[in-house]
Amino acid sequence: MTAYLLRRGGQTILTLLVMSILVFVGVYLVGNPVDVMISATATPQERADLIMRMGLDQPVWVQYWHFLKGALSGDLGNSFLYNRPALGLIFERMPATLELAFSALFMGLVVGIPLGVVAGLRPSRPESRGIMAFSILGFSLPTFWVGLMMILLFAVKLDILPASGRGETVDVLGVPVSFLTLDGLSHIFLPALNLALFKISLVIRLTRAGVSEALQSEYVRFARAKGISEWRVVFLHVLKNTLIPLITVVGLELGALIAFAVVTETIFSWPGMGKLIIDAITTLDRPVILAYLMITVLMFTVINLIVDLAYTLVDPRVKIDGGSE
Amino acid sequence: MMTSMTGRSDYTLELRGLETVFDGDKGAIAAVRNVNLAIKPGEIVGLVGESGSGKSVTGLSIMGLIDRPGRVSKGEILLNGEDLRKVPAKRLRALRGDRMAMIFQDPMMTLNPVLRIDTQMMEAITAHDPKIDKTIARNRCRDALGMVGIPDPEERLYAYPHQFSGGMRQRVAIAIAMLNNPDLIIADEPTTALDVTIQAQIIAEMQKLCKERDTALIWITHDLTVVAELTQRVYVMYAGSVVEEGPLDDILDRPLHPYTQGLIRSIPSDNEPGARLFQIPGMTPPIDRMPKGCRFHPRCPYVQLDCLNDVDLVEQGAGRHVRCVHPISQGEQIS
Repeated sequence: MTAYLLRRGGQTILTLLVMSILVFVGVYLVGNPVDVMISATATPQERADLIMRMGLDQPVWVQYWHFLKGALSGDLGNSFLYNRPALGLIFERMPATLELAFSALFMGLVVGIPLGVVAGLRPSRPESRGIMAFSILGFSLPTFWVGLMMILLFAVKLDILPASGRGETVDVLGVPVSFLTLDGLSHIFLPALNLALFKISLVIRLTRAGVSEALQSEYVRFARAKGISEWRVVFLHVLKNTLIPLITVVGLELGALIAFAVVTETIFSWPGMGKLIIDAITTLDRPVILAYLMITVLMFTVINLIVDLAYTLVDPRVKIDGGSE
Repeated sequence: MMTSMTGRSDYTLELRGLETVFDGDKGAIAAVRNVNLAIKPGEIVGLVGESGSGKSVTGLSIMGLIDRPGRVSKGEILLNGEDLRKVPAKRLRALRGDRMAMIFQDPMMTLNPVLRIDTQMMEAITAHDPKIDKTIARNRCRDALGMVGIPDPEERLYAYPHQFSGGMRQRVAIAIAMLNNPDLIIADEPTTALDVTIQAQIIAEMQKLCKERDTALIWITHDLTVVAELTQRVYVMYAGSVVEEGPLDDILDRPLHPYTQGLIRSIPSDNEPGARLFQIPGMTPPIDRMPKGCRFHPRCPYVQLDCLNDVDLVEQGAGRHVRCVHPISQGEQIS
């Protein structure tokens, strides 16, 4: 187990290194941030001073070396735009994005699994067909359009839910969260639902496929031959087998949720990382871009690790060991 | 011996005119037709036939485990005199796993891969006796595992199915089937997926356990050699119907139905080394395209014109029945 964790840690560091080189060189090639930042009326002298102050006159490998040294001591550099530590900027915005992503994931599971079970148990019933039709819509309609329609319906026409912002927040361990206040809940509901729509559809389909496959299996027939209740057959024998593929996909999708949050955050003016990274890209604010991607890669790694560990809880056939795969 | 609540019967199980159909676009198609079968306590009966002969469907029909679009459409299924087609679903579930149990063909598939053995055993007990003391139930599970020859039963209760070999898994399945001391066990080709030595062990074990407990056993198989080792009476099924029935030795020595004769001649050990194995020509007809009259006539070496007439199962000598217009006479027997 320790060997396994060490190996995973090593892989993560390697990924971070390669990714940072690619982004560093990529942003360097795209353009000069000074062109974006400095006012049109600045003198050539002012311009040269700024370039030197930011260290942009150095060769790219020297700049990268400075970045690497800083990164090893936990400093990913200051934002060109705000002249504040990039990491700090991201950490300020991260809770809002994570709250949104986890709320959407929660909705996806809480709504998707029961609907998937219903559709899997009785595929030919009208309610099951309705559920499947809904899931096709959830897959096909673009997130930004659904978001706009939701605002139009719930905020403008019906005027029952707010269209933007986080609402009232409470601090939990120093982190502001919305879902603990009624006002905050009403604010997070629409963006979370918007973001969750695709996940709900995905979870419905996965659950339905898993349930109908398990129902045809010999072990379900054998379980029924024992005379146990249909309730136990479905919720223990069938559902536990269905969870295996579900965990894989949900783990991968959590990363996608955080990434796709950009669109939803823009539509609902949700003050998360999405807005920050969009701004950073347009202004070529390299430290912020880099810091954002480093954090994202780290999060993905941690999520994947949790997924692998969760496997061992659900599927007894999976064992984690330090040996080669 | 348990007597049922609704009546008494000499037979543990009696099938009278059982018909099971599958509903399709072209209407209901019978997979099993007019099957009569009776088995007494402690008796071991073989249900023999090729794939598609309806033997597994018969077993599942008895258990009430036919999935839609299939359904039992006619006949009586009497377990200790109680007609399972007339009892409510709750009563059927109470009988299933308690008074009658079933073992399936592929031991790799019958146990749930993600649940521990003790979970899968305990539920078979608690489903029928929810208030039972957990320690007592657990001890019963342990004893059942020990009984079917699993070493370290106490420890193995905590194992998962993938930690057992195929033979051991089938033993676990047998232990589960026997947990509640049922009156009837239906074994659907339980040794087909296992190698020959394990097969012999399991057959011997089942024989012993059923004798000790006076359990009636229906052994479904395509393998006549297994039937020869195990059973006292045999039902030969073809294309959804019983074509011959009688005491094992009589049938093996002097088959009356050409199909039975074909099955016996197909056993490899009957042939000279290097000789070509006998095969029944053709194959079982698909259930939606059954031939008219005797369903075996297209493959029968003795076919005559009147074989196109429908034919019933008729008594032919002591305790023997055959469904054939021209049963094989003494002179035609191949030794």
